[in-house]
Amino acid sequence: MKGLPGLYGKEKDQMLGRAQKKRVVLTPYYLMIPPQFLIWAVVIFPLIWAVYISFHDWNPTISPERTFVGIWNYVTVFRDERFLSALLRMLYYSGVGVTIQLFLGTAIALALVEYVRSERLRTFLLVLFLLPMMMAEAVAAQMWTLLITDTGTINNILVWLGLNPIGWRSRELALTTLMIVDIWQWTALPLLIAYAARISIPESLYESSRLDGASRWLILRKITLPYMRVPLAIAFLLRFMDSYKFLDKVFIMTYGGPGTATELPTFYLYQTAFSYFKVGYGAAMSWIFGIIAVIGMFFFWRLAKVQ
Amino acid sequence: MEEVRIRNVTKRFGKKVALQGVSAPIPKGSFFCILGEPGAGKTTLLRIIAGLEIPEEGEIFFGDQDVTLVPPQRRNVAFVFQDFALYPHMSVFENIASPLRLKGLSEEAIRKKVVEVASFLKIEKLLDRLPNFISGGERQRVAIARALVKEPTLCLFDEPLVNLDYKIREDMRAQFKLMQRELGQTIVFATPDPIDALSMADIVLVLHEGRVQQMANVWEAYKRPANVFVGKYLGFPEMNIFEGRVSRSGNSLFWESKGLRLDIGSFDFLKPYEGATVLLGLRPEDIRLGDTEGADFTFEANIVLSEVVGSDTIVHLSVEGVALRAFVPQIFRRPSGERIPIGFRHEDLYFFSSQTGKNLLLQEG
Repeated sequence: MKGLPGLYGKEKDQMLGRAQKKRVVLTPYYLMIPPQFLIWAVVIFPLIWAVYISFHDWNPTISPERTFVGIWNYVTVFRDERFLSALLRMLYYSGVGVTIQLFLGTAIALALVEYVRSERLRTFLLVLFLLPMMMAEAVAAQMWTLLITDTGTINNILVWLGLNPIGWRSRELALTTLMIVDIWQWTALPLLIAYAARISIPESLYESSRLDGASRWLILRKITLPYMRVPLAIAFLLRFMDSYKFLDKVFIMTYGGPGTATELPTFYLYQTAFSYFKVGYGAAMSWIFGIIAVIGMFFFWRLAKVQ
Repeated sequence: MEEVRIRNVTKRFGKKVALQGVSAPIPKGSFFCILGEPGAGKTTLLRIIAGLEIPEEGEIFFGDQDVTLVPPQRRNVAFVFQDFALYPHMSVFENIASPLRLKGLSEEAIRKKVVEVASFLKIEKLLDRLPNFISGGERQRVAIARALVKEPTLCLFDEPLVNLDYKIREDMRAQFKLMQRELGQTIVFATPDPIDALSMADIVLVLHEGRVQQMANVWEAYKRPANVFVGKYLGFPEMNIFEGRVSRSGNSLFWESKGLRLDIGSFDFLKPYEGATVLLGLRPEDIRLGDTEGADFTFEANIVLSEVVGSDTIVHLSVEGVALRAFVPQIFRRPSGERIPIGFRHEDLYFFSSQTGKNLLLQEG
């Protein structure tokens, strides 16, 4: 029989639609065992274990005994005012904070590209803006703690300028202070992403619209921002995810206080499970917190039309 | 009437001179082609005409008005970029409509104009699509539509055919020419491809390293190239160039190189070059293969290789060890080593100075 030119064995059989002899190759499966083991051991098993625990009342410091309570822990979460107000705080902290970071970062990135003509100066400024991001969270938090005490450097400057000192760590302001510190440290991330997105837009698009007589504002609305939509959505998401699990600065700067003024869900969760040792309740709370995140992401993804 | 006049334009980027003393009139309604290698300064010249760059020296006139410092949006020019510069998030309709929206036309007027220009370019079926979902040739046409819909004084094209594949390029050449003829639009077209210039242009301006080599009617430039660069560049395949010496023998003048000896007694303008080295140019398409009747010079050549290009053939030949190429506008397969008579006429010969490269015929007087 005449064969197809250039095809041999298996390929020829496939081309001619001949049935293949089934032969199971096991090597890939063997190779997958170590990573699979790790994933199951440190991610999937704890997740399932947390579901199991969440249906129990358990304080490991008192007894190893776990009492089955059904969905009671979940019901309690929705009645727990401390958790709900922590969620509201997070909404304020993340919503406002991340939005400001995004706006500021984008504005600085655009200004750098549009107004700083010298390549060298631009790089220098970019690095300068990135510096806070390169600092460890804990170090930044410690540094800011010293700056914002009632007689700290910032208040000293305010007094020197003839203004009233501000109670940065007061009940009313503490959460906003944390937000400001976070903005100071993390605006650099959306800035970097926005900068990369902006310089990848072909210059010919700008020149073409300039030839047609488009104003700067129109060019921003019709070219720059639509082009940067997806990278900016991703920047927003990254920062939102980070702020969702935000803990370090609360821990170091305010420890949730004064009172519960800076108690964000993660901090409350941490307290419940590892200070009060209400492990079952903590597990239920973290599952709900996680599900809220997934739902939130889903809607955000739909809204931002990231494809 | 002259639509645009470029006068003595010089442009530098840092230390690099992009254009040096470029002058050219661009007549109204002409297809004006700027031809040159990559880096010759074609794009820079287009950008200066559009107002996207300001020259260090010289002026640009639109009609009687000096527009050298007039910003691009007030020049009423359209620019078709090499990458087409279509807005990827806008539909084809919106892309074409964008210059009209900026003019503040009514929605109805915009729709009418867009549909009109789109059907002229046969892209009316694509109006709802996004630029990323249409082919390269179609994208090209959308970019042209966006340029034409403005009804500009001047349409500038920056190597628009370079990004297209061979077949579409051939098709687009004819379309460009027809479009220009139908609309009477003044077009300035930058290209590195001599075929573009030969097939479409009325006037060609040949640039080399930022300097004008020649500006003339395209056939004039082809028949009477100003120098050896234009001779070689404006033509496909490239002109054959041989170096040889002009010498007198008896009553007549001869041009001699190591395998060739031509009686050039009829070229009076070569008399002053007796004893000098002179470059001889011969276009591959002027060489007759096999049938040499009517030729003034005939030789026996060896076929080295028949290179079939599409439905044409470039025949690589050797005459007494001198390599030359001939062009045959059909498929012409011959075995290597075959001997074949070749011939050419007096008027097919070009002579260039070996020092300056200038065409000696044009230098006379």
